[in-house]
Amino acid sequence: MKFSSSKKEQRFWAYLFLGFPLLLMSVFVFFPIAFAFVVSFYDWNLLIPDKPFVGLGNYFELFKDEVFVKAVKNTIVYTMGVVPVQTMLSLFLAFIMNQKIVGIAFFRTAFYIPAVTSSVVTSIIFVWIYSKPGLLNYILDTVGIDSNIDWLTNPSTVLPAIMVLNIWTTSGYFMVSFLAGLQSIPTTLYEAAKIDGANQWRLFKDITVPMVRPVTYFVVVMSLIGCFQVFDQIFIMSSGGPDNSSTTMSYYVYQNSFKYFRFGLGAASAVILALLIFTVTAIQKKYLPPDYY
Amino acid sequence: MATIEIKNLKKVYPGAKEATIENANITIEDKEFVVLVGPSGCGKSTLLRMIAGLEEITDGEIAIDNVRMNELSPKDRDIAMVFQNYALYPHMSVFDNMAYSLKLRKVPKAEIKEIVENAAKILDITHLLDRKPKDMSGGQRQRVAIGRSIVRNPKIFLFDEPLSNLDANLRVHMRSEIKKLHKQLNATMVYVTHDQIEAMTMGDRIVVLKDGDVMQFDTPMNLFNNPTNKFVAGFIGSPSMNFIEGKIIEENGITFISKDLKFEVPEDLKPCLKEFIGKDVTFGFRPEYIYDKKYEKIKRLSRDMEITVDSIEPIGSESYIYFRFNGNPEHKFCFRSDSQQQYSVGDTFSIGVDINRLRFFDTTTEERIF
Amino acid sequence: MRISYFIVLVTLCFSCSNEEKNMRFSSWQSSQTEEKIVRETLESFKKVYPEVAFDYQPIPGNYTEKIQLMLGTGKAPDLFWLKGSTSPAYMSFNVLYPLDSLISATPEFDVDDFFPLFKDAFKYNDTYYGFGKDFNAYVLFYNTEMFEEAGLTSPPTNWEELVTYATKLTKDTNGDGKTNQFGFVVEPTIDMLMPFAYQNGGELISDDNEIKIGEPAFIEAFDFYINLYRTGIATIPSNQGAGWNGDVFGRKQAAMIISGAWLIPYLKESFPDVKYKVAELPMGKYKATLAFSTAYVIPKTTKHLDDTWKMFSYLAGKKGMKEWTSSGIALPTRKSVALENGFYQDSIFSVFMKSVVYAKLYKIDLKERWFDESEAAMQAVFYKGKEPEEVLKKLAKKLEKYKLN
Repeated sequence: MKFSSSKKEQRFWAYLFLGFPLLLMSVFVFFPIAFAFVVSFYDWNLLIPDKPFVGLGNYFELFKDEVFVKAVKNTIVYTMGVVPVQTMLSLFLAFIMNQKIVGIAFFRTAFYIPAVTSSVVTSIIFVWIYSKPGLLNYILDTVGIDSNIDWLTNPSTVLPAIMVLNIWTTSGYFMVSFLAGLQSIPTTLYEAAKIDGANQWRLFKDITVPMVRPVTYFVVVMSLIGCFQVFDQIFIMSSGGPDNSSTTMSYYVYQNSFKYFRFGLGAASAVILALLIFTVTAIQKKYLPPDYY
Repeated sequence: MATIEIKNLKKVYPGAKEATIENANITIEDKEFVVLVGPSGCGKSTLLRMIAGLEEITDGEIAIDNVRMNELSPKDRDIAMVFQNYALYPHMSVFDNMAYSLKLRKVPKAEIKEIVENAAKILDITHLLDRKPKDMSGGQRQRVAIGRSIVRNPKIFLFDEPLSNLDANLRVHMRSEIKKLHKQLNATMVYVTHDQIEAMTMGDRIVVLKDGDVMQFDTPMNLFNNPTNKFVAGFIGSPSMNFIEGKIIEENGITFISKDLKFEVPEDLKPCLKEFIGKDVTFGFRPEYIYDKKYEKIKRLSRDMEITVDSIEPIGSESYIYFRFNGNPEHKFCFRSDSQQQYSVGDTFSIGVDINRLRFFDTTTEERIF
Repeated sequence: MRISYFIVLVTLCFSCSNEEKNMRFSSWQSSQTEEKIVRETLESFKKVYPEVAFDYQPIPGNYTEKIQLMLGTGKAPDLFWLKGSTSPAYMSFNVLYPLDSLISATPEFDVDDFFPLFKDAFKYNDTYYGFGKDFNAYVLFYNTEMFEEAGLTSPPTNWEELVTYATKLTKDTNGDGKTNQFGFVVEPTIDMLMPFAYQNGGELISDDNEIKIGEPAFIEAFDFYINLYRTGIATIPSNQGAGWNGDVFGRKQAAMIISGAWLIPYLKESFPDVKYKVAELPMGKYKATLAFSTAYVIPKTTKHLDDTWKMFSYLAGKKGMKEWTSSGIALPTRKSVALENGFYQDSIFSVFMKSVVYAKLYKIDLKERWFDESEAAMQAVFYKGKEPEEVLKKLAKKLEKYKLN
């Protein structure tokens, strides 16, 4: 294409248009990240003017802190539990949603609603569901399982309970992504495979799963990042308890920064969380790349 | 043996007002190459897919070798299909694409290798076995798709407009390749196309479809020379047959009158057309059988018809002359002329139609009278 | 183009500077009633000091975090509420304005009018930094209908009676095999345990800054407390699907509850048919209870000291406090106001006033994290079945790290 303006003029406008979003991002994204990184090397209390440099002191303190170690463990357990289940469930749901079943529009909506509902609202509802006289125990009772516990105050069930909640809420969102991916798979591929002798399972395994690989990659990455950062549900449902059984790294960052006035320590733990996410995503890119051919 | 018997076949899509296939009755013989042809939306692909088992049958029956197929899934019918967009598995190599069906049947690895390599040899794609579909041209991909079918060694091969996505030269080349394959494999083949030339050159017999109805099921020559109705007459042959709608009246014996022409019906036709006095008929005459009275002396021609040349399309070996009759400037017709004759726009001269090639159709029923 | 830039800049500058014109007062918003009374009290203040221009900016949510951020960025309100439990941290950070000189210059403020417990509540390093606007204390609420049914005519006065009464009051009222009325309801939080600890002669941290939570006196109190739950005569809110013990009491699932005066309007609004009376906490070896107070404080960086002090001395002074507490929403920290408003005569509020005499202030001189660590310890005992001795000893070691100096 030939423009009537000179190259210099084009360049000016290009930079101008790039400039604004770049400026916004610098102020709201890049600068805070860099600043947090710097803060992590100081004993930074917002209310005390004296902010001494402590080098790696915060980092050392983190690893000696029992609660931080617990938080890391909880975060990893949480992520390793939620990501695979969420990915597979949402793919499976999308596969079903793609079939011509009666009332499919209703199911599609029903599964997607939790994804667009505020996480605070769903958390509050689930606090009740998980409570001792709540819906979950009631349902288990009617099918004959006697489970008279408060799922959120029992140290061994609190994290799984929140994991299940998250799987349920976010699967709908990823299901939509997968659905879009599925619908871009040409039906003739399925027909050719059917003629070649594939049954439903084989169709799923040999056609659907490989063809939807780019979406899978996206879902896994987003799921990983989301899980590592889980905060809302912890904040509302369990406040990290009981006895830090459900404290995750982002909750730890929040507590230390806003409750204990220790921004330096909070920043250090945030940096470690970021490094963790980076590493995992990099590993994933290497061993599970998005291309299917 | 692989015969296909289609009895009273009907297909109605749920919620559709009209049937996509209406009461089709076709018997395809063993080792026959049958082409399903018709304009867009005539139902030819639907018919093919019903044979394949990819579409539900609303009514009627499809039987292969006298075994009812209606309830069987595609994989149990011993058929193979080549799709218009090839439908190759993009994430598998050519070898794996071809081997897939065998793998599903748990055929031993060594045997798979042998079968696939054989098929590859037949189609001359041995050098492509390790490639992925995206690294190949359209023609190569089509051959792989055919190879995938060959490997299955099915009773029946089905082709759904396989050459539509290829360029003209390649299409012509592939047509003969497929015909050759038919001889080599000696199998029953059902082939769908919208291109009537392709149909005419490839089919042993052709099914002409229109709006879900089978218009005629016959050999190419029969379709050309003895079309059962106006649609078939107009569909087969390029350029298509000329039609003039008019009436039969009693005048000088039996006369055909229309806006463009008026002439006394030739003797041979008088008996058939007698009962149509007072009725609407359509006069049909192919461009191939129109002759310039000045030059054609041998054939028995009809009476002179005065025409004026409207436009000329020279295609090399011959020219298509578009003309109108002097009586009616609106209606255009075509005839094929030896390009040696030099015509210009505006020329007027007389033409005649080979009497043996005149056709008349009942305007209301569209059935051929003569 | 250039002119519009200029206009934008000027407008921005103006709007920036405008902010600092009036003094600002902030509080949290826990209920509509509370806000109404705050505004009414401020109106009265306006009548007395019409020359003071102020903006009341209540903070609807995340109060502590917002105040912290505002203090840190130098944009704190000139006068704000500070919870007693967080005050040690703030005072140690040296962000509040020392009030000594202002007090001596305002004799009507009459520091000695405050109850001894509240007079020095917000003193740090011998300097005054704030004064409580009101107070609340833990007392015993008991359901008179349930008591009557169980043949009890008066509330328990000591630990043994607490146990026997609670046992009598724990029953299965609808014959489904499950207990649905408990004698008592406890919460697995440290502040609910502390009255018992004090009553047993224990304490969390001594006056000379020694961690005493791992000592036998505290452990014994915790043993007593947890056994109330483990023996089944006390329930906890989560077992009833309730958010706090007030809910449990309101739903008539417990006969006795330890709570503050905030329970009164809550019951009136949500569970008006519960018939109850209020009594002092049953005593252990000693009489003790916990008292809570929220202070008015002024940030060091205030630019409107005179105006702010006027409002401070009014609201925390006799007149302001009189109006504030006359609604019954909270109790006065000033002796004169208590007498004037008839708190000693009221059947319910007199109990609170009596408790003030032996109450201990809920104010722990440790870094903020002490609270979450203690809660984790409580949860370990209640939800993980650990034993108080082991847990408290571990906690004591941890708390060593959070000493303030």
